[in-house]
Amino acid sequence: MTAPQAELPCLVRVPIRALGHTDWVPSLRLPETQPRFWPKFSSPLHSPAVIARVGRVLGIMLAVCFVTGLLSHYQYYPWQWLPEPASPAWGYRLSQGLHVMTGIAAIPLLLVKLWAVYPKLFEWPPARNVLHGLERLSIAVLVSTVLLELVTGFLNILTWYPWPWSFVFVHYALGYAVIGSIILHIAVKLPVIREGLATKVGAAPEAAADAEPAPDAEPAEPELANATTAHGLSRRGLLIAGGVGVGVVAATTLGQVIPPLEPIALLAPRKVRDGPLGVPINRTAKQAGTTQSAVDASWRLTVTGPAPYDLDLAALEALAAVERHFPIACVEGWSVGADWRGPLLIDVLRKAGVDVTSDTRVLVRSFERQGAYNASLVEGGQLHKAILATHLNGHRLTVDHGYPVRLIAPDRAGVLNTKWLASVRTV
Amino acid sequence: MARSNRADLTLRIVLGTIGALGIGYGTYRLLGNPSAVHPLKLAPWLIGAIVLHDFVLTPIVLGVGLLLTRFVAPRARRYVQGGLVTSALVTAIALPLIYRRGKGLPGKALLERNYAANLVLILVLIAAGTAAAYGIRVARDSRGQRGSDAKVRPSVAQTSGTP
Repeated sequence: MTAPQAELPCLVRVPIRALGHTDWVPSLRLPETQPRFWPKFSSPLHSPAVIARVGRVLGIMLAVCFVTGLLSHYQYYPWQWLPEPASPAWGYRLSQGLHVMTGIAAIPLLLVKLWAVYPKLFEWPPARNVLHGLERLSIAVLVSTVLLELVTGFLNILTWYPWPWSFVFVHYALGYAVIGSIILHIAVKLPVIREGLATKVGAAPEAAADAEPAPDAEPAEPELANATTAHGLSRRGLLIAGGVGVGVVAATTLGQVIPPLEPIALLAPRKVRDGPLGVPINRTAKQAGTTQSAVDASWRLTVTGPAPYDLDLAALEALAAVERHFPIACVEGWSVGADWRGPLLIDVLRKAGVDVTSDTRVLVRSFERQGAYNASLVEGGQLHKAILATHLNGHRLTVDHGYPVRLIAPDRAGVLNTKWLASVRTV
Repeated sequence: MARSNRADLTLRIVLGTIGALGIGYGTYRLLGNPSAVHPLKLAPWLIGAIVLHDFVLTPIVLGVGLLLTRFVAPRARRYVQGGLVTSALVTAIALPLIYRRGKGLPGKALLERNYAANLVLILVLIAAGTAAAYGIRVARDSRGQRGSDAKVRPSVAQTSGTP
């Protein structure tokens, strides 16, 4: 029984120790005890019981944030054999709302977590062996990537880009580094996490046995330690105060996703109902350079197919129109339900002799000259439900909303609902 | 026991491998798109994040904590600390909004709220909540004191609250 137990730690440690004891890095030998100037921490709040609990919630939040981030990425880069589904219509609204909300709420929670583990930064010796050194390096990767990931995500929803690199590329790539270093962190700390979660939050610090060998044992400063233990904020108090902070942040920002919470959305970046016709604009006509061309009398929608034809707005509106309630959900996290009216895209295509099957892929193109989203592919279930919308919430589209006609389809990322359409054709 | 240890070790090795692969893939993507990512321009941001958090922000927070320990009476300190933790977390989110207010283009319905006033309102509510919790504690403590004078029982202050 005891043999495998004794063996297990050795599997990892023996060779490394042997490495550490060779003399090829003699200059790296450090004093056994920490130097006098080294910071000391006495608060009992820096305890595994607190850290593991905060970490558990933060880990779940960031996992949700990562998965919903991938779902959002898939909206933009789907595999051809597995197009984005059309239902539920609120799919992207939910997933991207979760992405942005968990990302925002993770910021205060991360601050609590990092504060709680701060003494670990001053562990002595800085690295016990090569493996421990690597582990600490991976913590540096974790802290740096998660901080930058959450901050860039938050600034992106404020449309603020104060950095010299592409947000989309960096945010996407960092996502893997963040989730990878979290998983690695869990692997390394699993025994400490178990121990921390098994320890009651209210337990006395002495009882909260540190599962790790204790090079970071609390330094002796008994007066201060006793004072904070007896009278300062308790561990439960810290969890409550942190939880309330996270709760307030969530409650005051959720209104841009859940309209009934709008009245208390004191810190929400968007005020969705203030957008023209009750829907915010992502890219204005001025930004897209379509202010003039949108109202050009010579505008026609070109439909390509075996029997190609052109439509002016009157002819487009003479087609049988449908009305649908589709939410529009932006990658920046806001979303709102809206009523759209216009002919079905497939009806317009069939008039051009297009045989619409389940494999048909349609490219809708805007007369917006430049811009990453001046065209988009419609396929699969979305193709069969897509509308060439001329009206929004009972009114004709405004120029900013894509007048004369725009695409709208269910469960589709906001910017992929191409505005200011000029042509549709199969590809 | 031995079996669960072995299962644990397997789990940790599997998780560790997945984690390392994630870091590796992220790094590959960062280095694989130099024209979009500019790794040399990204590096200062990654390092800066750690420096700002670990050597600027946290020392300030610890400094405030130290001042509270020195100058605020023990029972009140608990509540001041709690209130400040909540306030600081909300403020961290509110500051960029305040700074960027009004920067959204018309029609975007973006950054149109008065975030400074809203933050003040939230902070006042947090302060009021904290003061109320403190008031209740003071009242309970004095009642508990009288109770423990009559019967020999530990006071409320010792059975709940701080560990």
